[in-house]
Amino acid sequence: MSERGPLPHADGASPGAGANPVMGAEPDEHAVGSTEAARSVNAGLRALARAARSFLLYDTGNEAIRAFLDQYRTEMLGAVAAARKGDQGLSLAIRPFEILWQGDVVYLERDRDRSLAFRMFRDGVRRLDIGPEVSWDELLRLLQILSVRFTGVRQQEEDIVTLLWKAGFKQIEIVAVEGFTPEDEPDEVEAGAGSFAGQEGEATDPQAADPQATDPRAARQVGAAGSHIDAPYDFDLPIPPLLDEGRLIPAEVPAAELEALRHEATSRSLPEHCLRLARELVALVADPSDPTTWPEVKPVVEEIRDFLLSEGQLGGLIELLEAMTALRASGQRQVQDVLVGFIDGRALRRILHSIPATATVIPDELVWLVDRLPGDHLGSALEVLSQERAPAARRVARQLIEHLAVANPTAVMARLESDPPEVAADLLRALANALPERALEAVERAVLRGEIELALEALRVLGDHPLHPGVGELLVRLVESPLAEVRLRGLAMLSEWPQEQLFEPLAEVLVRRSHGAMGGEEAAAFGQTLARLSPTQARRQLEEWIRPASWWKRVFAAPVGNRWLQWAAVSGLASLPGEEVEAVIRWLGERAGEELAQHCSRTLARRRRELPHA
Amino acid sequence: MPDSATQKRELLDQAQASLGKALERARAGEDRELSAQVRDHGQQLARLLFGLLRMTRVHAVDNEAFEKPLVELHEAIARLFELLGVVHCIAVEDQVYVNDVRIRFQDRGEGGGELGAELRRLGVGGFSFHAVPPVEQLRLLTRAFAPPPIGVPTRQDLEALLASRGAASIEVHGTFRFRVSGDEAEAQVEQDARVVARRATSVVDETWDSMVGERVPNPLPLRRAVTEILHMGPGLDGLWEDPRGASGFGGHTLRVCRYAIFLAAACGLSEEAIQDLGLAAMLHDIGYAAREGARPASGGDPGAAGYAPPFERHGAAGARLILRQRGFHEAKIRRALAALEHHRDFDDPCGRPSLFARILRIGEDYDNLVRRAGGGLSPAAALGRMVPGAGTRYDPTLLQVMVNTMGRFPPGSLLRLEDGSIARSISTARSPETWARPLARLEQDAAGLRITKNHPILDLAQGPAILGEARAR
Repeated sequence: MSERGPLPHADGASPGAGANPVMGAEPDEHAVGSTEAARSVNAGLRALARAARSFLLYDTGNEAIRAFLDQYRTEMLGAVAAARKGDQGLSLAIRPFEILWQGDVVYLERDRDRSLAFRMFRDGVRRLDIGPEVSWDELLRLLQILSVRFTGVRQQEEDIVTLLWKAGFKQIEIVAVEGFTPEDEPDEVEAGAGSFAGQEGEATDPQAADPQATDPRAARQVGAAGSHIDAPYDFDLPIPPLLDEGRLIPAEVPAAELEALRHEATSRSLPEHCLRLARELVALVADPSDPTTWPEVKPVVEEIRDFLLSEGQLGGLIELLEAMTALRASGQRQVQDVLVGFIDGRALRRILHSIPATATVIPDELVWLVDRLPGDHLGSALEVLSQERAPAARRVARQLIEHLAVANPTAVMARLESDPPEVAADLLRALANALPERALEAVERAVLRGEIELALEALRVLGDHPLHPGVGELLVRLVESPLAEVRLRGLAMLSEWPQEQLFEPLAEVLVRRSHGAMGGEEAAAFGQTLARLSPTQARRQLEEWIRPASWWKRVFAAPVGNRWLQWAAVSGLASLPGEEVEAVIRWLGERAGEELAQHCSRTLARRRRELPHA
Repeated sequence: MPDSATQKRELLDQAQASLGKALERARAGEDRELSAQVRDHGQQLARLLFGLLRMTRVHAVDNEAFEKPLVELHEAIARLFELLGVVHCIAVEDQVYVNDVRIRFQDRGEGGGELGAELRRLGVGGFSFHAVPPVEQLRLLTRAFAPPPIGVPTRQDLEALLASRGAASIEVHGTFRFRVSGDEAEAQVEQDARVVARRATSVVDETWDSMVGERVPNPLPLRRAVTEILHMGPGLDGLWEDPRGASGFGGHTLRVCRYAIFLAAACGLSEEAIQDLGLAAMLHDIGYAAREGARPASGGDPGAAGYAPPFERHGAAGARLILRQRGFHEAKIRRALAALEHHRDFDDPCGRPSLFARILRIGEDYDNLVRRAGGGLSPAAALGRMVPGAGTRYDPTLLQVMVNTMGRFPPGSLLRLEDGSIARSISTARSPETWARPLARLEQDAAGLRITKNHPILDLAQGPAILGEARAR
């Protein structure tokens, strides 16, 4: 579930020390510690606890997580530095509800569900030593392990102790419960330790009436009486044909060969291993001499498919898909439901999550997949676009919609009217790119909503369709936008493609707007655009706004007429040739108020610079 | 340290992405259903057991009030047995575990710490149920906790009572305490390589039983066993000796595991990879536990037990059994692939086997050539027979590392010494200089007298010289 709630500071800056970076998200733990260093350690541990818990509240991609990580990094490295300054290591004793450092309580939280101390203690961690040279990588891995535990994931494969052991920390040491061991009992000659199977064999207890009583192997045999099956006596036989005996000679192994082996053991080879396993299993299913069945193989194929999806291994996904398709061709019709899962909504979301932040173009493999597999891919892509927030993923989702919209523009058009504005803006662009002939229809629908995001996107789309006859009218409509940026860009675009028939409607817009809030820049842009649209009409109309033709109006209206109309007129007229233009402007300058008079003289000066011939 | 806002942002982006991926992987590896069932049934088992033991204090043991909980306890164990095979219910301090899954209790008084207290009255720490005990056996167990004269005073008496009444499949454990890494008790235990080896083979045997019983594999106990071997050091001398009483299959499995992790460590593989490899080795031959042609009983049909797969199909069968475990995990993929490919040649026309499979192939062939039921060769001869297969059967790099690290006379080699004595090699190569002169345990002195205990240990780098391999009597 995604938490869309409060976000961290927009500038990404670290919030104040010890503060919860997502204010109001949850109460903070106790601030404890009797010395400055101890308080610093306390801040580090609280930041660790908050970061580990944060995955319960937020999607892993949520910006809030980043703020928690930032704080954890700052505070924990600060804690390590504070400990180092006092020549002390950060050796933390873990108790059920508190953590101690140098005998001082540096973490306290009694709520079991929230307590970092409780989680660690319950999972067997008894001491946590963080070395003075600890790196951010190690701190991050520690957080990873604790986060998995906090999110309540129950892993079959590993527990916290094996996870910590596997992490191979250099600067972090953990003392942990590693199992349990029999307590000392004088009458036991030998006690096994650790796991449950620990007390095997050698039953020498004189009081035991029957060796079976203390010998689990015997107990196992008794328990399984009648049904116990041993391994076949001839397992792994016959041995392979013996080769001639060679000489054993030690020889140095080149370091590069060892390095190649080590590389093969890393997770980087995992996708390849997954594919190979899937191919092998599929081949077994197709082999009539092998008892392997599709139902036995299906779960792991699905797991591998999902892994490849989440890793963005689209090439591997296609290889797997081809193997599946071959299996279906060989008569295994049941594979169909697995095929569908290659590119359903969930799969698409995984693919898009794995898109690198720098990706700008939709991967060919994704197009390949949607083109070959059945399903409502457009519906999935629209859903993903409406929920996904990462820019790269949105970009690719939009391109996918572009690809799919050609076949079904109506669905996209409908969403254009109902989706949130930022989503609709993406859809508008997708539609315009996919179906240029319907771009204006899409813009019209978008403009009708009157939202800023859509208006800006509409301008961008219109900019790509300069020669279409309907563009001008839409631009005029956009010039009525409440957002100055939209109006100015709309005017700039209109002036690029002068169409005389737009003069009248644009002039009407200006008259309407001149009665409201307007600035000099906008008024000037209006005037200049009008002059570009139709110099002839402009000369007449603009002069009229400055110096009305009728004597009556001249006497009583001018120069007190509408200030913004006159401002626009000055700018517009100044871009037209002819000496009479200057005379009109000068006439106004002599009669106008201070600001408008200054505009007149500046405009005239500029006109002389830019249009000396005029 | 990031020196600019951009670097810092990138660093945090990477951290966030890596955390997201780790969580996604962890979630992908989860089998919620199985965990929930074990926890639910385990909680029920612990609660019922605690209730019954507590009741022995307030009710006469023949009171009818015992009947219903006894039947419910029987059913709870049966359900867990169906899921897990052998059921271990262990109380450690104030915690209760059922097959390594810690059981949560909502409230005090539900049976958490209290079950431990009840069991400790007889010095008992828990039980392992190797079969589903009939209600009568559970009644016997419960009565034993009643106050004297009906109950018994000690754990040994309880064990004797159960054994004498045909209930030996109920294993009784002494009390436990948590073992913390680095504590003294652990150090003592870890010194005893035999204990570790025995425990490991025991876990292998239990896994075998589980697989035969068509259950889901539980890798955690196997992983712990591997971790213990790794903690001790896979090359530790004591580890080369077979645990007493190990089954042929268990012994072979453990030896292959040791060879594999020893070889991997010599190659410098990461601890994480070695641990995963060790686990793969513990399960490499588990395919023999599959039953081809098995048919469950139904109606009048008694069913059929089926047969172990033949050699050529045991790899694939092993992969199928390993893959019964649900949830995606890198280690699971690697061990399934290793089981599938571990007998394939290095130059297999279908492609080079995975690294784990290539390592296991060397360990597997070496052990099969040495073990008595296999080739019966001496360790040195076995390794010598493998050397010509470098590049065809075996990965040449890995095989050379094996030769370099096992030494001219690998552990177990019987050596004829210059002074007429016979000794058995007990160490791998300790250095390039002593590659052909291992530590050895004197088996027969210069006068021809066989030594049966307190064998002297010889450092053959110091002499006497090795004349060659001796034949085992």
